[in-house]
Amino acid sequence: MSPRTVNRRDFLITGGTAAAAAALALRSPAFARKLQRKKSRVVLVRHAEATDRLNRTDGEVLAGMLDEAMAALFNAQDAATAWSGIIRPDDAVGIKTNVWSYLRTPTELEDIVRARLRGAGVDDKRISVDDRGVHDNAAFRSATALINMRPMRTHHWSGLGTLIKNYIMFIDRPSDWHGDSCADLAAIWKQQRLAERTRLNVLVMLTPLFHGSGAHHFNPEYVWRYNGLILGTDPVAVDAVGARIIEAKRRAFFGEERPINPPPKHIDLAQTRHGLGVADPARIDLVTLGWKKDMLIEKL
Amino acid sequence: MTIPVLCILLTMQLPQDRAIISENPSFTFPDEIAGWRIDDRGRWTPETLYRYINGGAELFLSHGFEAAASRRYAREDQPEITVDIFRMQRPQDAFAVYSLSREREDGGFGQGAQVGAGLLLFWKHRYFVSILASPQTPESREAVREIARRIDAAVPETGPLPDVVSMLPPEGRRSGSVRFFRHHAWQNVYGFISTENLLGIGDDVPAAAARYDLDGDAATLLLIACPDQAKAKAGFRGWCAHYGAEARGDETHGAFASVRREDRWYAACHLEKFIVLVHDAPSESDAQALVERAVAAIE
Repeated sequence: MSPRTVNRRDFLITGGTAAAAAALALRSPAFARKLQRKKSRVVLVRHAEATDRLNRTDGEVLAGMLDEAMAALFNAQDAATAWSGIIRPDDAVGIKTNVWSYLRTPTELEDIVRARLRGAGVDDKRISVDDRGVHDNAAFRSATALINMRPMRTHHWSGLGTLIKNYIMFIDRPSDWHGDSCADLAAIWKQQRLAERTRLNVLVMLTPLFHGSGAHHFNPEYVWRYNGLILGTDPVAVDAVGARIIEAKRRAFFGEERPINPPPKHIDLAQTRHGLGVADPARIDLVTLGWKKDMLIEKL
Repeated sequence: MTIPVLCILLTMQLPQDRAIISENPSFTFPDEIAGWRIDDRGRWTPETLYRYINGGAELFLSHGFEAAASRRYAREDQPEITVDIFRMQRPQDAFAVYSLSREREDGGFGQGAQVGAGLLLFWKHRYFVSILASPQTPESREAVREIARRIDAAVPETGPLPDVVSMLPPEGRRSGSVRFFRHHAWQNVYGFISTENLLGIGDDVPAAAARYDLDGDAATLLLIACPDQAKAKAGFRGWCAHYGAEARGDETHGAFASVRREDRWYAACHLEKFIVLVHDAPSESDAQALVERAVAAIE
């Protein structure tokens, strides 16, 4: 399948009407997935100036990227319509972030999402942001909607730190899931109704880590300013796209095949063993927006 | 303690750590260096290290980790600099974590160093040192080197390489590719073998791995040193069973097996107390030749 490069205008022309009709139904992620019966839509958006030379995030640019991607993902006229399509004003929303000190979910992104949720009518008091405390966080246990967002990076035990893996902190003993390269992480999503409560997944690809080394598994030599976000309702499909980009970057950087080690098998198994979503490239509808230079993913 | 240790400032501030931190005052973290000032301090024990190194503490804990001290330095409009000094039980432990943390050998500090854009790693005697500034700026580059020089100078001793590392044949070996480990999790360092410990690698069964150039191609050599022949035989049999390879030769005096997988060749040999593995070779003859070189180096 070739990637479709779709601009905002294309979406306004082709998708706006359908989005308006489907907006209310999209509030159910199950319904959203039914709409994507054959393919999971994944939106990759990039901007050359999303980060600066110190890898700091430009919040204004990031907000524009997110808005554009939201409209594209949900075939909506604009981002506000897209948000209103997936979040109700009476939702209690938990934003599952990631605070790993060397590559955390940008606080700017947390703030933007919080603002968009408020724009969709959610009272700020009903919005919670947490990472390592979600297991014991009552706001997350009672949340009616979850937004899952984290940066992609290589990882000691799972090969890649993914959106699928980001929910491991909902578990009492995360280390219990490290066996066999974290093969069954997707099973976590069946607990606490995590899968059905998740309305949006955002894989942060602003400065991904494509190879782990050093005392903290973090070496600035293996981070690059890709300046992207990948969005989808299907976390498996989003992770699969992100993994392709990481693999391509490793190939380009090392000049030879350097498979991710350990292999991030939990992504494929999330489809084949756990039915959480689709990792099969033939079943992913990739939409690319914005900056195209060194995109590293010409086709799926 | 017989070794000058680097964490005295930490010791002075946190007297409860005296039991694990040497009192030799050979090094103190500077309060300020090139405009960076200390912003945070930490000290870590085997019980607390996992809080500091999320997901990666096992590398240290499985290789004789004793204690660590860390400092974070901050300067306006510059990246933070994080300095970590890990004290291990033995020099071979320090080399293990260094070898599994670096990608190449640049030299210049300690007994081996990788000096990258934003990360400087080196090992010396029982110490593994990591200095991180991400992303690198011209100013942080100089500050990182200055800190490394000071720590390097504070450790007068050097330590020997592990025996099994010294047995790796030098010809064709890629610089900076040598890895040493005593936990099976790192058997996959140059390509996935298994999540199981089929070779018996452990505290008393150390292993070394390296990449070798082969006429425009490359292969991986793994050398495992067992305490006795029985363990070597068991590991060899485990490998044969895992790869579906049939052993040839005499199990008492040495046996060989090879198998082809996806156009690449994998070979194993056990000789007395050693297991020799060649993985990902372009041909069976290449795999066998590299095994023979390793056997010759052992003998």
